[in-house]
Amino acid sequence: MLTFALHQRFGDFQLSAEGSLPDHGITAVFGPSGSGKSLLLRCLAGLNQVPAGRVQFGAELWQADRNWVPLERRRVGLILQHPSLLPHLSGSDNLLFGFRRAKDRRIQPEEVIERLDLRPLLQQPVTSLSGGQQQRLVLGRALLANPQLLLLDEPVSALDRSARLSALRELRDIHRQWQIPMLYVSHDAEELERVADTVAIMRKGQIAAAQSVFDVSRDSRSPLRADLGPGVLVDGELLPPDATHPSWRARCGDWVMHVPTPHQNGRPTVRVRIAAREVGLARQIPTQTSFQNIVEVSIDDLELTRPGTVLVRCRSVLGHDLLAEVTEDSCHRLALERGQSAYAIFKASALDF
Amino acid sequence: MFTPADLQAAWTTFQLCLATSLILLVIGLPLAWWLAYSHSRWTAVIEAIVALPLVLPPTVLGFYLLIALGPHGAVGSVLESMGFRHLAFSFTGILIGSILFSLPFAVQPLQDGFKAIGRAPLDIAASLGAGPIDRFFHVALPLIRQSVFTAWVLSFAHTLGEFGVVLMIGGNLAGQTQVLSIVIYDAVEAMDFARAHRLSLTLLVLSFLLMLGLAAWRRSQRRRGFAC
Repeated sequence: MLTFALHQRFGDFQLSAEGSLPDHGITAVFGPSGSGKSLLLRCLAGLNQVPAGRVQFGAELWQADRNWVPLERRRVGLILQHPSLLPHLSGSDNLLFGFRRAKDRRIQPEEVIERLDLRPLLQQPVTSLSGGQQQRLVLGRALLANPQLLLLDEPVSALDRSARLSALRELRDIHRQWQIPMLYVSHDAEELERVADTVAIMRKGQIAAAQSVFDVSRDSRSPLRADLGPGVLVDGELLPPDATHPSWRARCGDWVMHVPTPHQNGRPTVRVRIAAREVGLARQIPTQTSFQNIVEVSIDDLELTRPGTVLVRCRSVLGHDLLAEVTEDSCHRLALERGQSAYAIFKASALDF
Repeated sequence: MFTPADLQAAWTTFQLCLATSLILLVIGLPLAWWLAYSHSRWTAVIEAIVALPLVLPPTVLGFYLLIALGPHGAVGSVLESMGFRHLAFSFTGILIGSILFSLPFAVQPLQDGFKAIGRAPLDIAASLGAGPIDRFFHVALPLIRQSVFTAWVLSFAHTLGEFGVVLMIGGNLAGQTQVLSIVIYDAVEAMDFARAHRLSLTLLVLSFLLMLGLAAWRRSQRRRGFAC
């Protein structure tokens, strides 16, 4: 656990962050700009010192009373919004800066160079690299210092969309391979949905308890939903086409659904988002439809979210939650009501593609 | 063209300039580092003290140094009691004087250099396991190498043009404390305008070349994409 109690006034801003975050998996700190999430990250790293604050990581007391562990002894990797390569060093000297100073050398340069495809970047002057290339080198450098925690502050926000998505995929793969806990700060709900296991929401200098990203995505009051619309998030295992199934599927527990063909093979798992607006409801089992995912559900709840639109909360016979958005008119036409059974038909978008 | 006395004064001047500028780098780097990054409330006071030689008449600085370093001064009397000579009218005396007098010319470019690179590269280096001394030598110093060069040239050239402080604490001892600027003053006093001309022109050309070299070097660095 990473536990902390940090209270300080910075001009007009009051930081009152107290709580704990998991020390495994990828934990996202989500909040609008000005909510203090970057400041929290700086305090946890030891870049800002809050008087009378307290920070503890596992058994290590980083800050308490007169006890202060400086950043260089916390073994914390820092990845900030703008790539922070040291301009006086070559690509390879940058990459090995932390490795040369590390005592624990569990992660070796060769595997990182291979994993992040850094070889072509090593001999070039770092100033000639693109933003995405620089950030990859920064990530490799942080990994080679063998940190016990990675702190990432909007690490992909300076990249364009496609570079951003591939960077997020890379982050999850890296986490899977080396199991380094990550704390990921962002204001972008879409990024968090793709990358996080756990989400803690920050507002006006205060942080709420961390929740699983799957719970947060279903919660109708969650600020993440304001950006993305309602939906359900599930993690699954990818199944390639076989003799009986001509298309790609994802197995999420005992639930198998059809997903679009991934354009990057070799990744065994996938995170799937089923947006409520991609889910339709039918009273009888529909035949002759282009939708491949058809599930029998019972209706738990109906909610008028905005004029003319009803959000239907359903549960499949296997016990999985699904959200469907239908028009008020369809709702009357099909006479949908609580407790009734229906068929949900949907497209699943896989987020890791 | 130059008399042996001129050459001796030139040699003393050169030694003084070189020693002053090198010692100033050693003192100036940690001082500038501290001024640029410390949150201590004393930074304002120290910054003001460092800037004092810019506005103070050299004679004031020289006068106080003469008193302090002389046989009855705080420093001089301690040295005498330990069996050493006091420092008034000695090369060490004028060296101390010119170090203090040129201090702002070394510290200010270095301090600006440290401020310009900001905290970010140092924070990153710390996160990669580099302690404060490691960060100073392997991150900060290489990043401000141009400021180091500027500070060195400026303090060298400024010492070349020093007069008042040396006159006050150094007296005018050939081979020890007699520098070119003082020889020029002597020559004018003795109505030897030809000698004064020769030496003045030498100093003028030398100083100009130093400044020109520095300016040209900075331009070439900027073209190569480094910030000064």
